[in-house]
Amino acid sequence: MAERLEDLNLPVTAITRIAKEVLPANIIVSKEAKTALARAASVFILYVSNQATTIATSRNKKTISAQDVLEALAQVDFECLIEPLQQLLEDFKSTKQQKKDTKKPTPNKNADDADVVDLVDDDLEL
Amino acid sequence: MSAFNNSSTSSDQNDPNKDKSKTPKSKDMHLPISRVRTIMKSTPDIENIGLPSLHVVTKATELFIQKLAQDALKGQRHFRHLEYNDLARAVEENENMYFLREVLPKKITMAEYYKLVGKESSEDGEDNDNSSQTSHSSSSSVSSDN
Repeated sequence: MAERLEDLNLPVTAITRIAKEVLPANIIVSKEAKTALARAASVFILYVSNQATTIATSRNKKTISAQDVLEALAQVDFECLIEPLQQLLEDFKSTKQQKKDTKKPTPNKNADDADVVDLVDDDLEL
Repeated sequence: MSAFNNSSTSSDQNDPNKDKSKTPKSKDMHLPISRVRTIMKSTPDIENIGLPSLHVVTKATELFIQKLAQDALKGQRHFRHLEYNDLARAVEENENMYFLREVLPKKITMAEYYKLVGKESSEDGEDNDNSSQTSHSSSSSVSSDN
Protein backbone atom coordinates (compact mmCIF):
# COMPACT_ATOMS: atom_id res chain seq x y z
CA MET A 1 0.00 0.00 0.00
CA ALA A 2 1.29 3.40 -0.93
CA GLU A 3 1.80 5.62 2.08
CA ARG A 4 2.27 8.87 0.25
CA LEU A 5 0.66 10.02 -2.95
CA GLU A 6 4.07 10.30 -4.63
CA ASP A 7 4.46 6.56 -4.22
CA LEU A 8 1.98 6.10 -7.02
CA ASN A 9 4.11 8.02 -9.49
CA LEU A 10 6.36 6.26 -11.93
CA PRO A 11 9.72 7.78 -12.88
CA VAL A 12 9.19 10.14 -15.77
CA THR A 13 12.64 9.49 -17.24
CA ALA A 14 12.01 5.77 -17.58
CA ILE A 15 8.57 6.40 -19.07
CA THR A 16 10.01 8.84 -21.59
CA ARG A 17 12.71 6.40 -22.60
CA ILE A 18 10.18 3.63 -23.13
CA ALA A 19 7.94 5.90 -25.19
CA LYS A 20 10.85 7.18 -27.29
CA GLU A 21 11.72 3.63 -28.25
CA VAL A 22 8.73 3.55 -30.60
CA LEU A 23 8.72 7.21 -31.62
CA PRO A 24 10.80 8.66 -34.45
CA ALA A 25 14.15 9.93 -33.24
CA ASN A 26 13.55 13.61 -33.94
CA ILE A 27 10.28 13.92 -32.02
CA ILE A 28 10.22 16.30 -29.07
CA VAL A 29 7.93 15.19 -26.27
CA SER A 30 6.70 18.12 -24.22
CA LYS A 31 7.16 18.08 -20.46
CA GLU A 32 3.43 18.06 -19.93
CA ALA A 33 3.04 15.07 -22.23
CA LYS A 34 5.74 13.18 -20.31
CA THR A 35 4.03 13.62 -16.97
CA ALA A 36 0.71 12.78 -18.58
CA LEU A 37 2.17 9.52 -19.91
CA ALA A 38 3.50 8.67 -16.46
CA ARG A 39 0.14 9.39 -14.88
CA ALA A 40 -1.62 7.29 -17.50
CA ALA A 41 0.77 4.42 -16.79
CA SER A 42 0.02 4.52 -13.05
CA VAL A 43 -3.70 4.52 -13.68
CA PHE A 44 -3.30 1.69 -16.17
CA ILE A 45 -1.57 -0.45 -13.52
CA LEU A 46 -4.37 0.20 -11.05
CA TYR A 47 -6.98 -0.45 -13.70
CA VAL A 48 -5.50 -3.79 -14.76
CA SER A 49 -4.70 -4.99 -11.24
CA ASN A 50 -8.20 -4.09 -10.12
CA GLN A 51 -9.61 -6.19 -12.93
CA ALA A 52 -7.19 -9.02 -12.15
CA THR A 53 -8.18 -8.91 -8.48
CA THR A 54 -11.82 -9.31 -9.43
CA ILE A 55 -10.96 -12.33 -11.56
CA ALA A 56 -8.80 -13.89 -8.84
CA THR A 57 -11.41 -13.41 -6.10
CA SER A 58 -14.11 -14.85 -8.34
CA ARG A 59 -12.05 -18.05 -8.36
CA ASN A 60 -11.48 -17.92 -4.60
CA LYS A 61 -7.80 -17.31 -5.04
CA LYS A 62 -5.78 -14.96 -2.88
CA THR A 63 -2.78 -14.61 -5.14
CA ILE A 64 -2.99 -12.97 -8.52
CA SER A 65 -1.44 -15.18 -11.16
CA ALA A 66 -0.07 -14.18 -14.51
CA GLN A 67 -3.03 -15.87 -16.14
CA ASP A 68 -5.39 -13.61 -14.18
CA VAL A 69 -3.53 -10.57 -15.50
CA LEU A 70 -3.73 -11.80 -19.07
CA GLU A 71 -7.45 -12.43 -18.73
CA ALA A 72 -7.90 -9.02 -17.14
CA LEU A 73 -6.19 -7.45 -20.16
CA ALA A 74 -8.53 -9.30 -22.47
CA GLN A 75 -11.53 -8.08 -20.50
CA VAL A 76 -10.50 -4.45 -20.75
CA ASP A 77 -9.99 -4.65 -24.53
CA PHE A 78 -6.21 -4.82 -24.59
CA GLU A 79 -5.92 -8.14 -26.40
CA CYS A 80 -3.19 -6.65 -28.57
CA LEU A 81 -0.82 -6.68 -25.58
CA ILE A 82 -1.38 -10.32 -24.69
CA GLU A 83 0.68 -12.02 -27.34
CA PRO A 84 4.02 -10.34 -26.54
CA LEU A 85 3.30 -10.91 -22.85
CA GLN A 86 2.80 -14.60 -23.33
CA GLN A 87 6.22 -14.70 -24.95
CA LEU A 88 7.64 -12.91 -21.92
CA LEU A 89 5.96 -15.36 -19.60
CA GLU A 90 7.47 -18.31 -21.43
CA ASP A 91 10.89 -16.71 -21.20
CA PHE A 92 10.34 -16.05 -17.52
CA LYS A 93 9.39 -19.66 -16.87
CA SER A 94 12.30 -21.05 -18.86
CA THR A 95 14.86 -18.88 -17.07
CA LYS A 96 13.39 -19.96 -13.76
CA GLN A 97 13.72 -23.57 -14.84
CA GLN A 98 17.28 -22.96 -15.94
CA LYS A 99 18.12 -21.44 -12.58
CA LYS A 100 16.69 -24.48 -10.84
CA ASP A 101 18.65 -26.80 -13.07
CA THR A 102 21.92 -25.02 -12.55
CA LYS A 103 21.39 -24.79 -8.80
CA LYS A 104 20.68 -28.50 -8.38
CA PRO A 105 24.08 -30.03 -9.10
CA THR A 106 26.30 -27.52 -7.28
CA PRO A 107 25.32 -28.05 -3.62
CA ASN A 108 25.60 -31.84 -3.83
CA LYS A 109 29.09 -32.22 -5.18
CA ASN A 110 31.80 -30.07 -6.57
CA ALA A 111 34.54 -32.64 -6.48
CA ASP A 112 34.69 -34.06 -9.98
CA ASP A 113 33.72 -32.53 -13.27
CA ALA A 114 32.61 -35.92 -14.48
CA ASP A 115 29.89 -36.13 -11.82
CA VAL A 116 28.49 -32.75 -12.78
CA VAL A 117 28.34 -33.76 -16.40
CA ASP A 118 26.46 -36.93 -15.44
CA LEU A 119 23.89 -34.93 -13.50
CA VAL A 120 23.34 -32.58 -16.39
CA ASP A 121 22.81 -35.54 -18.67
CA ASP A 122 20.21 -36.93 -16.29
CA ASP A 123 18.34 -33.66 -16.33
CA LEU A 124 18.29 -33.63 -20.09
CA GLU A 125 16.85 -37.11 -20.24
CA LEU A 126 14.06 -36.15 -17.86
CA MET B 1 30.23 8.24 -24.69
CA SER B 2 33.28 6.86 -26.43
CA ALA B 3 34.80 5.87 -23.10
CA PHE B 4 31.70 3.90 -22.24
CA ASN B 5 31.80 2.10 -25.56
CA ASN B 6 35.43 1.20 -25.13
CA SER B 7 34.94 -0.20 -21.67
CA SER B 8 31.96 -2.29 -22.68
CA THR B 9 33.68 -3.81 -25.69
CA SER B 10 36.81 -4.59 -23.72
CA SER B 11 34.84 -6.33 -21.00
CA ASP B 12 33.03 -8.36 -23.63
CA GLN B 13 36.25 -9.57 -25.15
CA ASN B 14 38.44 -10.05 -22.11
CA ASP B 15 36.17 -11.23 -19.32
CA PRO B 16 33.60 -13.75 -20.38
CA ASN B 17 32.48 -14.09 -16.75
CA LYS B 18 31.56 -10.47 -16.31
CA ASP B 19 29.26 -9.80 -19.24
CA LYS B 20 26.96 -12.65 -18.27
CA SER B 21 26.06 -11.19 -14.90
CA LYS B 22 25.26 -7.63 -15.95
CA THR B 23 23.52 -6.01 -18.86
CA PRO B 24 23.31 -2.39 -17.74
CA LYS B 25 21.73 -1.11 -20.92
CA SER B 26 18.64 -3.28 -20.85
CA LYS B 27 18.04 -2.60 -17.17
CA ASP B 28 17.58 1.11 -17.83
CA MET B 29 14.83 0.43 -20.30
CA HIS B 30 12.42 -0.99 -17.76
CA LEU B 31 10.07 0.35 -15.17
CA PRO B 32 10.99 -0.18 -11.51
CA ILE B 33 9.26 -3.38 -10.46
CA SER B 34 9.08 -2.40 -6.79
CA ARG B 35 7.18 0.75 -7.69
CA VAL B 36 4.78 -1.23 -9.85
CA ARG B 37 4.18 -3.52 -6.90
CA THR B 38 3.47 -0.53 -4.63
CA ILE B 39 0.91 0.77 -7.09
CA MET B 40 -0.69 -2.65 -7.44
CA LYS B 41 -0.84 -3.02 -3.66
CA SER B 42 -2.95 0.14 -3.56
CA THR B 43 -5.72 -1.66 -5.39
CA PRO B 44 -8.68 -2.29 -3.11
CA ASP B 45 -9.16 -5.89 -1.94
CA ILE B 46 -5.86 -7.06 -3.36
CA GLU B 47 -4.15 -9.83 -1.40
CA ASN B 48 -0.98 -11.25 -2.89
CA ILE B 49 0.76 -10.65 -6.17
CA GLY B 50 2.66 -13.49 -7.77
CA LEU B 51 6.09 -12.65 -9.14
CA PRO B 52 5.25 -13.69 -12.72
CA SER B 53 2.12 -11.55 -12.67
CA LEU B 54 4.15 -8.60 -11.42
CA HIS B 55 6.49 -8.99 -14.37
CA VAL B 56 3.56 -9.30 -16.74
CA VAL B 57 1.92 -6.13 -15.43
CA THR B 58 5.20 -4.23 -15.67
CA LYS B 59 5.70 -5.29 -19.25
CA ALA B 60 2.06 -4.63 -20.08
CA THR B 61 2.43 -1.09 -18.76
CA GLU B 62 5.49 -0.55 -20.93
CA LEU B 63 3.62 -1.78 -23.99
CA PHE B 64 0.65 0.38 -23.04
CA ILE B 65 2.82 3.51 -22.85
CA GLN B 66 4.23 2.74 -26.27
CA LYS B 67 0.78 2.18 -27.71
CA LEU B 68 -0.52 5.43 -26.27
CA ALA B 69 2.50 7.33 -27.57
CA GLN B 70 2.10 5.84 -31.04
CA ASP B 71 -1.61 6.61 -31.15
CA ALA B 72 -0.91 10.17 -30.05
CA LEU B 73 1.67 10.52 -32.80
CA LYS B 74 -0.91 9.67 -35.47
CA GLY B 75 -3.04 12.70 -34.68
CA GLN B 76 -0.13 14.95 -33.89
CA ARG B 77 -0.78 18.61 -34.63
CA HIS B 78 2.62 20.24 -34.41
CA PHE B 79 5.41 18.95 -36.58
CA ARG B 80 8.04 17.02 -34.58
CA HIS B 81 6.30 17.77 -31.30
CA LEU B 82 4.22 15.51 -29.12
CA GLU B 83 1.96 17.59 -26.91
CA TYR B 84 -0.45 16.87 -24.11
CA ASN B 85 -3.47 17.37 -26.32
CA ASP B 86 -2.21 14.69 -28.74
CA LEU B 87 -2.38 12.21 -25.88
CA ALA B 88 -5.78 13.46 -24.77
CA ARG B 89 -7.09 13.06 -28.31
CA ALA B 90 -5.72 9.51 -28.52
CA VAL B 91 -7.52 8.71 -25.27
CA GLU B 92 -10.74 10.17 -26.62
CA GLU B 93 -10.56 8.25 -29.91
CA ASN B 94 -9.75 4.82 -28.48
CA GLU B 95 -12.55 2.83 -26.97
CA ASN B 96 -10.29 0.82 -24.68
CA MET B 97 -8.73 3.93 -23.14
CA TYR B 98 -12.04 5.10 -21.78
CA PHE B 99 -10.73 4.70 -18.24
CA LEU B 100 -8.25 7.53 -18.85
CA ARG B 101 -10.81 10.13 -19.85
CA GLU B 102 -10.89 11.70 -16.44
CA VAL B 103 -7.16 11.39 -15.95
CA LEU B 104 -6.21 12.98 -19.27
CA PRO B 105 -9.08 15.31 -20.13
CA LYS B 106 -8.82 17.25 -23.32
CA LYS B 107 -7.78 20.80 -22.75
CA ILE B 108 -10.02 23.49 -24.08
CA THR B 109 -9.75 27.24 -24.14
CA MET B 110 -11.86 29.35 -21.85
CA ALA B 111 -13.77 30.56 -24.91
CA GLU B 112 -14.72 26.99 -25.79
CA TYR B 113 -15.56 26.31 -22.17
CA TYR B 114 -17.92 29.23 -21.97
CA LYS B 115 -19.49 28.14 -25.23
CA LEU B 116 -20.16 24.71 -23.73
CA VAL B 117 -21.47 26.19 -20.52
CA GLY B 118 -23.52 28.71 -22.47
CA LYS B 119 -25.23 25.94 -24.42
CA GLU B 120 -26.18 24.11 -21.27
CA SER B 121 -27.58 27.13 -19.44
CA SER B 122 -28.69 29.48 -22.15
CA GLU B 123 -31.12 31.15 -19.79
CA ASP B 124 -28.35 32.97 -17.97
CA GLY B 125 -27.48 35.00 -21.04
CA GLU B 126 -26.09 37.95 -19.14
CA ASP B 127 -23.09 36.08 -17.75
CA ASN B 128 -21.86 34.93 -21.14
CA ASP B 129 -21.22 38.45 -22.38
CA ASN B 130 -18.95 39.24 -19.47
CA SER B 131 -17.05 35.98 -19.56
CA SER B 132 -16.10 36.02 -23.23
CA GLN B 133 -13.53 38.74 -22.49
CA THR B 134 -11.36 36.30 -20.55
CA SER B 135 -11.04 33.93 -23.45
CA HIS B 136 -7.25 33.75 -23.85
CA SER B 137 -6.59 31.53 -20.86
CA SER B 138 -5.71 28.06 -22.06
CA SER B 139 -6.39 25.86 -19.06
CA SER B 140 -9.23 23.41 -19.05
CA SER B 141 -12.35 23.18 -17.02
CA VAL B 142 -11.19 20.14 -15.13
CA SER B 143 -8.42 20.12 -12.57
CA SER B 144 -9.50 17.32 -10.32
CA ASP B 145 -7.34 16.51 -7.34
CA ASN B 146 -7.64 13.51 -5.12
